Amino acid sequence: MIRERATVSCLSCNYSPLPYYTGRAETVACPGCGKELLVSNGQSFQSRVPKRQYKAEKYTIPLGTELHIHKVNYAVVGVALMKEAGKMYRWTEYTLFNEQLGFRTLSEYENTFMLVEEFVPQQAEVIGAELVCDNTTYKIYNSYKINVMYAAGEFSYHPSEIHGMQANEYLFLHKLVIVKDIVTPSSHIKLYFRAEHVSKKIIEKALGSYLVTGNYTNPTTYYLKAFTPREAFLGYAGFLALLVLSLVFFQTLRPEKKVWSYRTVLANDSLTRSQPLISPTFRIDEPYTALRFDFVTDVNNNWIELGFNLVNEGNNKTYSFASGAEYYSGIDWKEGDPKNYATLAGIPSGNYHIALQPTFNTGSSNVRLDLEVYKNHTYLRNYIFFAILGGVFPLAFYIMERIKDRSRWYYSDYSPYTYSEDEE
Amino acid sequence: MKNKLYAYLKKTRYYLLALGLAFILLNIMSYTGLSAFGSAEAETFSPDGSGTHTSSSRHNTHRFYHK
Repeated sequence: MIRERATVSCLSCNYSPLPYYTGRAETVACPGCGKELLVSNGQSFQSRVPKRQYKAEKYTIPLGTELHIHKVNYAVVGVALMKEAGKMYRWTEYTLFNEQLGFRTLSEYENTFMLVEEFVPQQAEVIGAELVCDNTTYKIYNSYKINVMYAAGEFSYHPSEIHGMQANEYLFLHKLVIVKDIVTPSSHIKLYFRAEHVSKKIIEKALGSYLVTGNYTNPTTYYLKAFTPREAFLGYAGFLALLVLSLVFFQTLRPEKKVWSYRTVLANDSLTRSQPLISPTFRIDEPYTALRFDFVTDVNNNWIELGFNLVNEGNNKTYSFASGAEYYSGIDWKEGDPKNYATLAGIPSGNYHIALQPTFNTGSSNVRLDLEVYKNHTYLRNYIFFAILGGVFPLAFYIMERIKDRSRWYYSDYSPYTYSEDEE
Repeated sequence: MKNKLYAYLKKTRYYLLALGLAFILLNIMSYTGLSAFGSAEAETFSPDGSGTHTSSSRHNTHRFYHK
């Protein structure tokens, strides 16, 4: 808690000490009589006739409380209870003060909090129900006239002057901009405020865990404050472009190269069955490469299985695998494919040969086999896998934001979403 | 424009960093011929019928049903 700057009594009702902490406020409202006092020269006070006498009401955060919000220390130096004119909605606005940053406002509605800060936009224009502000298009969220029900402590404005003021709230995702209209006979000024969610933990840390959980979803709450799903998709689009470039790079600068091609007809005799086919020696110069084995057969209502043994002639290390092809058909159906392929990943450099052992149906006719073996195979499935992996985050983010956005707009009269009766 | 790009890179840096690392990993895999889903070598084959490959029995099943 911070202490009052000086022991000063109210000029009207002698309430003492007045909640006067900073010496920089324009107005001090007396908690005793509700009179609004003008401050001049930091210390002396001049009574001001308010447009409205405020009634003492309860509020959550005591004056003088110190809060640490978003890495900044603030003191609560003023509190005003507001109401929408002609409606039942009430909220509380606390005046926060930091020696370097000056005044901010902490707004509380249904146990949810927003830090509100005035800003001067580089560009702002209201077009119908939308606000285009600094290259972002906001949609109208709420429109109301402010009624000040109670004020106590310090304010950087005159609470009596904002009584009856028109305020419009505009929302884009979790970004809320409040536009207040100050209309005088000679001028029309718009003040812009940006609101930012303050988690309950921050308030609870300063006050203790007494806050109840309400159903109200503060429009400025978010999953990820930093950026929008659209910006995430933008990054993902760049990632996809890089994947395509990488694929083109590997397929043009290091294209697949044939290391063995073999065409034969496998006779259905015991000699062919027992003798493996041996390839000539071929060289792999790359430190590591992937091999692709393409084979085409003429099996029809038949199958063939090929046992491959890739032998490194330097160290006799053998890479063995089996693959096959099968094709069956009838009058109105067919199944399988007489051609197939297989790949071997991460094969180191060296001299190699392939021993191939075919197996096929003993009761069938001869089988034609065309086999081609390539090195420098690029796995397209790797690219598809990484493309899907990279897209998980923006997609999940988009879905979560969409769900969140529905709940943000739930309490707005201008919601772009429709809600079922169960939700209401 | 430059400021906009800088602001975008700053706020999305962790996601872009993750994508960048994934891209580097993918290129290493492409250069070394590695597959994210293993290699055909996992399917063992022995001409004498031992080993774990079961496609012969699969073929027999096909023939049984289609005859």
